[in-house]
Amino acid sequence: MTEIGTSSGPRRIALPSGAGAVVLSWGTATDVGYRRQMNEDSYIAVPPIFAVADGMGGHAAGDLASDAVVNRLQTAAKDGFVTPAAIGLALAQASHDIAHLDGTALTGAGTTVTGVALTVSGDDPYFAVFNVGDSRVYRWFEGEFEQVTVDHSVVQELVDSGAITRRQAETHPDSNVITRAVGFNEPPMPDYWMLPIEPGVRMLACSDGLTKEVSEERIQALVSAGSPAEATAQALVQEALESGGRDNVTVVVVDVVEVESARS
Amino acid sequence: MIGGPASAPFRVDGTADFDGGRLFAMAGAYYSAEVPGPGADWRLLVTERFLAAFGPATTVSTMSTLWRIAADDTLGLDALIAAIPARGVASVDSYAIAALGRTTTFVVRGSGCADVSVGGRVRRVDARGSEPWYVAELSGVEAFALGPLQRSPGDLVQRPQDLRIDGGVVFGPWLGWSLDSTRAPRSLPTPVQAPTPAADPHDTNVLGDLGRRAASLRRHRGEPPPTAPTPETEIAAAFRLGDRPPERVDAPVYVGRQPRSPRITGGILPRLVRVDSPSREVSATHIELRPTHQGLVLTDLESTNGTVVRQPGTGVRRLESGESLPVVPGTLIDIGDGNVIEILAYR
Repeated sequence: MTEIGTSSGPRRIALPSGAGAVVLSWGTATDVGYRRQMNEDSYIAVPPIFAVADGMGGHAAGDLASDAVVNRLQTAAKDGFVTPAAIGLALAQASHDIAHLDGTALTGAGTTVTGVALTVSGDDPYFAVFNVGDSRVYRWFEGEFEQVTVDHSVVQELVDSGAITRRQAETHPDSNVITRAVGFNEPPMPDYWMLPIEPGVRMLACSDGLTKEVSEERIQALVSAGSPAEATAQALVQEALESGGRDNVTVVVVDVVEVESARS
Repeated sequence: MIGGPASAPFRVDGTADFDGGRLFAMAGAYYSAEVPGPGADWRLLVTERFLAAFGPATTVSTMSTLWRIAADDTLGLDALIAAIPARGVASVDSYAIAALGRTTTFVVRGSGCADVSVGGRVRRVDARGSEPWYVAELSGVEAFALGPLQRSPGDLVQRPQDLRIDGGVVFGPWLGWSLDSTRAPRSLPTPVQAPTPAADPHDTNVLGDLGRRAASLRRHRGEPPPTAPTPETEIAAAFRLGDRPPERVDAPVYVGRQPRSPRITGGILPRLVRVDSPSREVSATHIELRPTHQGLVLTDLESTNGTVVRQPGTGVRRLESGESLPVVPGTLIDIGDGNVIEILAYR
């Protein structure tokens, strides 16, 4: 596991145009869980990028894959804000790194990655949410809790086609089969969403070690409990462990504290 | 300025060396001096960090923007890619870009491709329909050529008639680069024109030259010069919100009080435009303007208070919630709270 960045209290990040700033605070937590030998998740929590990667592959290859992704994202994040194109390039470069990993596990190393990045459109700040695989980003704002990302998974495709319900998806035997990843010698194809940055928005990025153990209702209850970002991240990981802890679990929580706009 | 043919015996910052009637070139770019046939004249861009070939449809205005970004050392490959219009009338359907570095990153789209030699083996990097582009990163790159898919692959040998280019924008059928061309010393070609001094990437004259070259090429082919667009041929390609500057639409635009985008699967990122709406007449995401080759399509995104459209010659109408409408230049779109969007033609 690779951890880039740590939890932080309110920090002001100036817009590249000099026209205002956003103030964010964030928290991170991760645990190997009770069944796995090692933690193959990695995360980055350094403005402008907050992301979680869940590595897959035998002989520690998954660990190297998730490490490659967060390292490349860190390189993309040289300034306070980032373009989605830079994220796409970083993922393509990570894919190259993974294809060139030394070792025995070259036949299959890859990783999911999902997260939020600070970007601008015109002079206004936005979150660019990106996703490859079945880690997830959720958004909580004014009492509304929504899953932003759509899993790249076999069961999600079954849900989309109407073959099974969302409830059935949770217990489907193929629930661990994903249809897109970074690595496995395929070009990464991220989905993106652009979301407004407003004071009071809370973003949650997590590996499936959380979402496969803890119900969405319970996740929402913990996210909206009013605790600071770091305590919320720790509570979510603790909940996943108490529910079984069968997989690595990693959580990054980002709070929008304030938005200073040049325009009213 | 246009990077002149450096085939004359002169030295450009140690990148070319004249020795006993033979020219030895170190790592560097070159392009074919063949006058390409109609529709095959790619725009070839060279700076110290980037080599790129853009398809024949790429406009001078787009090349101007791309050159400015490519020559700016503070901007990276992501900025260059983000500035290439992916949709709309000015969209660049085909290109191939190489970013030089410890490894070489190739970005290709449409019919643009890169033939790359690594370890003596040539492989082709092409987009195969990937949208908005396909990217490959390669280490140990010895040579490559950027250009259209139609170019025969496997031929990366620099020929005596090829012209060196150290920086600038030129027309040509393809662009080559070689890490070390000393292995193939070539006899000194006849200079085609007077040697030019070392290229200055900040020299803005490049665009004037590009425009002149375009005009001369048109004359060469007997094509008529471009005429000012008539009202019949003008298509909607830009908008202006209130007194803000006009913006060309190269990607879907979402306008609203706190706009957000839907899921983007093709990789073409939208433009989000936030407007003030003290009385909240404007919905969070109120309308979409989608660029097509035929112009812009306006869609009301199930807004709460609707969208009022005034089309030239057809009066005022209100869009039904969720309704779409192709719009022409001169159209005014009222989304509430005094926010009026004017549709413009692209100039």
